[in-house]
Amino acid sequence: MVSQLWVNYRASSLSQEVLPWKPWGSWPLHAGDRLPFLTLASTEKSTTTLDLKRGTSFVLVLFCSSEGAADLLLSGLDAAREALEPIAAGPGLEVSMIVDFMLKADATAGDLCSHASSPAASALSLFRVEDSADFKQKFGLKDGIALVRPDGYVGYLEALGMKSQLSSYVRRLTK
Amino acid sequence: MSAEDETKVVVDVLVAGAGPSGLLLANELVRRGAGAGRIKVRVVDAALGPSEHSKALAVQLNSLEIFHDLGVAARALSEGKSLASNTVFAGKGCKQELKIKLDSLPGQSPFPGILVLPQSRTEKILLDNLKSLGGNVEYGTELMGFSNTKDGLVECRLRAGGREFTVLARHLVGTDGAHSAVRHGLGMKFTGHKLEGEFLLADCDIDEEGGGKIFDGTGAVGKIEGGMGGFFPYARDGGASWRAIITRREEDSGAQASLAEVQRALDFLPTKATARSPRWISVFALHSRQVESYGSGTTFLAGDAAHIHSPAGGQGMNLGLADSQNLAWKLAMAVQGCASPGLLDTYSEERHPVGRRILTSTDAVFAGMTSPGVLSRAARGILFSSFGRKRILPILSARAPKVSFLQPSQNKIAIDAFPPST
Repeated sequence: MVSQLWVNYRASSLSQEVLPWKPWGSWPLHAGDRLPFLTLASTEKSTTTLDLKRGTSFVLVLFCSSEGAADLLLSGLDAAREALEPIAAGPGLEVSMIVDFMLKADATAGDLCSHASSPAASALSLFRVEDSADFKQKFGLKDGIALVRPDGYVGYLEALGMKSQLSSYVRRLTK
Repeated sequence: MSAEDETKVVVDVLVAGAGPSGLLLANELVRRGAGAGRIKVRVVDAALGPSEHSKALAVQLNSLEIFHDLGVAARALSEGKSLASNTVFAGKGCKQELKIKLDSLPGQSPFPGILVLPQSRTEKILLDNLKSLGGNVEYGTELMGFSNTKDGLVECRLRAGGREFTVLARHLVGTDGAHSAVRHGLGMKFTGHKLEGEFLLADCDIDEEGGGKIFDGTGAVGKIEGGMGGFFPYARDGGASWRAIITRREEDSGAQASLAEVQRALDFLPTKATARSPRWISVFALHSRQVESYGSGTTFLAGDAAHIHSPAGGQGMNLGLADSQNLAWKLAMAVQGCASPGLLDTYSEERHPVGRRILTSTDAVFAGMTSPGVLSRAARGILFSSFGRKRILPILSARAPKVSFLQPSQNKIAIDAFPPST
């Protein structure tokens, strides 16, 4: 009667991650894991990561714990979208941002971006983590990006500040 | 292509077998039609219509998440019954009693741990959804054989209503069960072994004297002569029902199954209960087998066609659904021309080890539950000790709220120590 939630594809050739060295222990979240379950709040209604990944597209999830990190992630979004173009043109791509800090009532991703007119930031859904401790425990990383496959598993995971391998990951999938 | 070839139908994917795995695969492929291009899917099944048997009953949490993604979880939840707990009776006269809570995994998923839903209902839900997406199943259509063409297609020979015809498919997926014609056609070995003993499955009513002592709407598993007997409630059309899962006695092996065997198992439980009104009784020889590869290139296997194991823990159907979930998006990308040459190979790479693990662990659980050996008795002893209750059963029962709360890394250690499986 196992829930089979233990299944992961960490050892798969389709799982790639760029994580900083951790002096002790290990990161809780790895490429190949099921996207962790989190309760999320948005400007419209409460939702969960299950709904975030729902559908047939890939989902790029930007996650961060400070406004500064949000700005950095959003300024890298144009490059990420370019790398992900073959996926956007194929199975499809959605972009979501999960933040672990307080937001103004009607905040949009554009408000978090220092170059506020960025078209990349305008087309993404913004959510706030409801339970900060839960997020910290399940993600481990404070800031980064996760590319979630259509079946809900994290294919590619990158910590903010690491050298991106997103282009090579997308090539592995599509070329 | 020659003129003759042009008269043949070309489809992107031919799905052979409309059980849960095949139906889910078809749903996942057809609903991707709105994106980069329509995916032409044909689903055939040798049976004349949908099965009415309850067969697999346990819809695990992971499957409910797959259903949620497809948009059918609400219906499954409304038609099924969440199993709140399961009581295990062991020891002499089944006097030892252990209640395993099976409700939800708060913080991990909004869904119940186990939904009890007859497989016929699960299939109906998936079939209805497939139809609403514009797909369908061609029943009474048997796959007679197939071969690869020099253009890299699969030429599938089908027979329906005494008429044979050919379908050219870019991909063929065998979701056609334990006796898979696709697996035979590929000449793949079904490596493994036959387990000792037979299982009896029966759907019937159970009357309990005094009512609701053990048969109170939750599950019960008891140690019986030479094995185990499990009883699980489920909702069927026209009322409630019980599913009995019983290891047969050696002397009954090969004989016609009867309700008397269900009664004999009931008599081991510390209550007075009577089995009546059998709706379905079936006997299964148990095998533990898996193919070495789930396929590559044009032809793939998923579900029971790729792996079979003991029903302990109700894993089989759920394993098959997850196979299809993994294969579907990769197949869709390949059909739509945006997959790397190696992408389809990752289906077997990712799903074979998961199947392997379930096989190994359900074997262990089955042997542990039924074997009269010293080691098994010792294992059962540990299970019913306070350590077993606190640390091992949660993992076995999978529902394992405590264990599941742990982070993946810790969770993995726990699982490696004793593979989860029942």
